Amino acid sequence: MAILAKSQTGTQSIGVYGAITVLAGALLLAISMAGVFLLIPLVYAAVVCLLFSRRAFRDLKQIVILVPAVIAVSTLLWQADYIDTSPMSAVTPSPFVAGFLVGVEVSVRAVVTVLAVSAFVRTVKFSELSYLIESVSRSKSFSFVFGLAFNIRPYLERISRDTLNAIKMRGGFRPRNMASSVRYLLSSTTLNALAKCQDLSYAAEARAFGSARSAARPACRDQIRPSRTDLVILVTTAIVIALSFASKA
Amino acid sequence: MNIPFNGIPLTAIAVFLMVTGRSLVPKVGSTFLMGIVVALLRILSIGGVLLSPMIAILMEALLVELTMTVGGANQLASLIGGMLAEIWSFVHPFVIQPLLFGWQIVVIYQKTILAGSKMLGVDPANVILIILVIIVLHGVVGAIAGVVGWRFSLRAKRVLSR
Repeated sequence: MAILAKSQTGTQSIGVYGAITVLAGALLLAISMAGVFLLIPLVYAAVVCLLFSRRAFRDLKQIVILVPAVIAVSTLLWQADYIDTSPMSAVTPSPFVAGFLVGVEVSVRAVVTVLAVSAFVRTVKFSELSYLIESVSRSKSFSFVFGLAFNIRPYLERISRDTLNAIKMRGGFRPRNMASSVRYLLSSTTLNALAKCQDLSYAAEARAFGSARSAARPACRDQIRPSRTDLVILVTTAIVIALSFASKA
Repeated sequence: MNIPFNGIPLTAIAVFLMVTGRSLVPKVGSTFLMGIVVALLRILSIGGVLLSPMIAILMEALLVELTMTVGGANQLASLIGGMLAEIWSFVHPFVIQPLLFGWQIVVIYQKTILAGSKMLGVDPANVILIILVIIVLHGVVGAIAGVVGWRFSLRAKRVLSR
């Protein structure tokens, strides 16, 4: 669980409430704004990333191909019959210019989405996030289950790799026996993983996790409270959303 | 393992595991909880496109969860749940992308399909037929994955109880 106590970048200034607010606010603005008003979520997401997670800009390389492709396709294929429904129709009578602007609009939404999600992922502390989900879902062992799933991944990879190699050494994964090989790989890996999880769950029960937890009454964790930065983010996001909708109206 | 997992095979494996897990832990919400854990693990794998796969994982888990909660943990519910989850993997981009990127993306898709069918000399009506065939293919694979997962879970119960 120690690995879950840190965020991806070790950011200390923003908590789980702030990260969720940024994500929800940016996505809400990106979905609901159109045309020139899309600059608001773009600026909002860029400022948040500049302040709290500059590495989020690196993730824009995911859409390096998507953005020009969407702009090119929409510029070439956007037809005159769609101009009237375009947000830019009043300004641009040409289908190519209207198509280009529609492509830009879609691309801006993609950029905002990538920035918001990257900022969330890079700033959120997974321990806080899992505790929050635990308290919301009233599950008493979500954090433990998530930590277990995270830490068991290398083991699962190893047993599946070993099984794969064993089947290959016995002549598996050839066209004539592909189906049976996949069946052996899946069943063997899943059974091994289940057996391992069963062992771990017994060990966890013995240490008062899971169903034994309520009877054992372990010490309560510290409640996660929003920090001052979280509150500032919350208020700023609310103001930005309110102003955006007011100016759009 | 250097195996390119995506689309139909990836969702089929997910259905297989979800149905197996639900059969072994027949509690309401266990499949959706499984989906939340996997979605959070997906967040940890930084560097890829995150939001869309996360929503897809959660939706597929929700569909299996709802089916197996309403229909009970049995073979028929596994079949229907698997079918719905697999079909969602195909429908997902067409539902999520207009929500995230605006309705214009639908027109861009529509225009791309029409231009593509014109270029290949295919009647646009056939394109719709092709899409329906793909949906049916997804459904059949999902149903098979659901049934296989259910049958495997019965075997797993026997093996684990030894």
